[in-house]
Amino acid sequence: MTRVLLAALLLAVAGCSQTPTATTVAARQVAARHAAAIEANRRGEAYVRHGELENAARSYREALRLSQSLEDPEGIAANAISLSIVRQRQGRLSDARASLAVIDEYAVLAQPNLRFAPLRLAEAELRHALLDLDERRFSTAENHVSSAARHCGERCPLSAAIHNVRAQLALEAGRLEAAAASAGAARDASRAASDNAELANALRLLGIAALRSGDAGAARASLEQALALDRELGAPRKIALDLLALGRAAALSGDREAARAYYARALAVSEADRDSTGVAHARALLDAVDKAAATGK
Amino acid sequence: MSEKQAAAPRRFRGIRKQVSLFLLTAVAGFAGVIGLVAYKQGMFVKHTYIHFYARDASGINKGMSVRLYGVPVGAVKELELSERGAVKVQLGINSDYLPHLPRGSQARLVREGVVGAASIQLITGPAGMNRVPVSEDEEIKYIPHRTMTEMVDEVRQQMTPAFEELRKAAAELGNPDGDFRRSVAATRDTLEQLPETTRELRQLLKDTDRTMVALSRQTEAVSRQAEVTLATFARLGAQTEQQLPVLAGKLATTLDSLNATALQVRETTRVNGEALRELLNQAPEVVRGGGELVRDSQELAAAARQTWFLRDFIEPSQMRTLPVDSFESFGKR
Repeated sequence: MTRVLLAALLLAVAGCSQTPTATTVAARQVAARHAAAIEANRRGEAYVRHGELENAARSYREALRLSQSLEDPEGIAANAISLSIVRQRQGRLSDARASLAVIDEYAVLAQPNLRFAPLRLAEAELRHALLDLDERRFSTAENHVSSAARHCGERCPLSAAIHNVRAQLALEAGRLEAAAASAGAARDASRAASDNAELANALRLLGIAALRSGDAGAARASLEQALALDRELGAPRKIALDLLALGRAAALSGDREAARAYYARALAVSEADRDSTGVAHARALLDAVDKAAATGK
Repeated sequence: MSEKQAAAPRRFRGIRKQVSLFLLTAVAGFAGVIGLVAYKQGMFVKHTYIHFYARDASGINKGMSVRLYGVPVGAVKELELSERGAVKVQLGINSDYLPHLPRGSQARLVREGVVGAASIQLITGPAGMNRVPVSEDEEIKYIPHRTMTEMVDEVRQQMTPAFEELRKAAAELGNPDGDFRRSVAATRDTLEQLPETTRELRQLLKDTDRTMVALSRQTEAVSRQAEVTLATFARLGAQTEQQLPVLAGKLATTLDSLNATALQVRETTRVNGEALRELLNQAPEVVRGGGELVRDSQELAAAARQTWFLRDFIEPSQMRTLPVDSFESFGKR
């Protein structure tokens, strides 16, 4: 028994005398590069949270570069999409498109070991649609939304967002019924997916569609729900949009004081958020209400 | 049945010898491995022991490598507190390298990078010194390593007298009773007196000329007057003789003062320049050290994150995408 144990000990000693192979060193280098990409990605996210968009863009660009150097499709898609969002928020739409083009180029190559997940492709298409919407290119936006829906399939986490973009396109075209239908579908999809951000967007769109149809009561009901959700989520720009729409609903029902109060709240929120567009919008509506009060109309 | 009993012992005949041989081979192999490891660790190498005393032995450990020109030549063998109020650090030096280690060599603690492995570096004296090798149990000098704070302190200490000198020089320049201002005032006085002297000299020459003309015309008639004129001439010469040394003395004093001031300014500039050069030489080292410190800390943090003790508490790393918001562009149009 002792001899067997001695032999086992000798084998164990021999087994311990391995040197690190080249494969493990290479794997460690790849892991280090991958970790650096994730680190840059996280930094970008933190900068976005603090409103430092230029720093966020720099971090996402670095993360994208590292992911490209590793041919990591997940990393490339995640960072390219995030970079496009940051660039759009900065108002640099051509840069936003350029970052999405990275995904398009890889997708065209269709290499078997460099395939993007369908959800990532759907996200990229939807981002294209949002950029087109920003530049009022409604027909190309429609095409991108259809493509996003194709990639997304029946049930995917982006369904609500796709319906909401469709509703916005219908609103722009003046098709109020189609807009309400799409917003309703978005509301149901977002409730099923417990996506409160898109649920608030859907409710806001339903409110705006009702407002344009002249139904102030229905508009107010939807918009108040949207406002409650947006306050929970802590989204200042959307809170201001809800308040402005609620002000319009109040004005439609003839309650000028309530409308003025909503516009003033929207102005305060936009000023605190340093949103110059929101401030200008709220100020214009406040002036219009004051002018109407002065002329007694 | 009886055949089976007879066959069994034949099959295992000699098995004891074979097993013993196998185990003997294994034991011999194990002993060989141990011997090889011991050889690699330098246990069969003859060592010469030398030592040094360090006021602060922080960073010096038993077994630490000792290097000469970057080559490992031994190890720290012993650390013990001595009665001299220091730590006696005994070094075991491979005797093969001893001829390269002359008396008067010094030791210091060095580190590869800021967080890298530390070792004792042996520094030999310049060529031409006494090249007799160190002997057993001989003491060598230890150069304490300087920390970054000490380096900064040293720079500050070197800079302080330079700035002090500069301040004094500036104060001297601004002091109305100082040598410089007085020298300037003296120079100005001298320059102010120069036109007057020149005018006097010119007047003197005119007078002389006039006298000479008068003399040539009235040689006979004014022989007495000639004596008076000569006397006047002699008086004027004496006056000139008296004034010139005074002027020359004033000028020399002024030049001496200016020379002293120039020397002082040159010395101050030289001291400041040396201090600044020292500071600029050390600045990249400090910056590089800071960079290495950050990089090493990041590597340490990354390594620590992957240890079994911490990795269970850390969220697995993966790429995140900012949420795609369908209202990203709404309200801007």
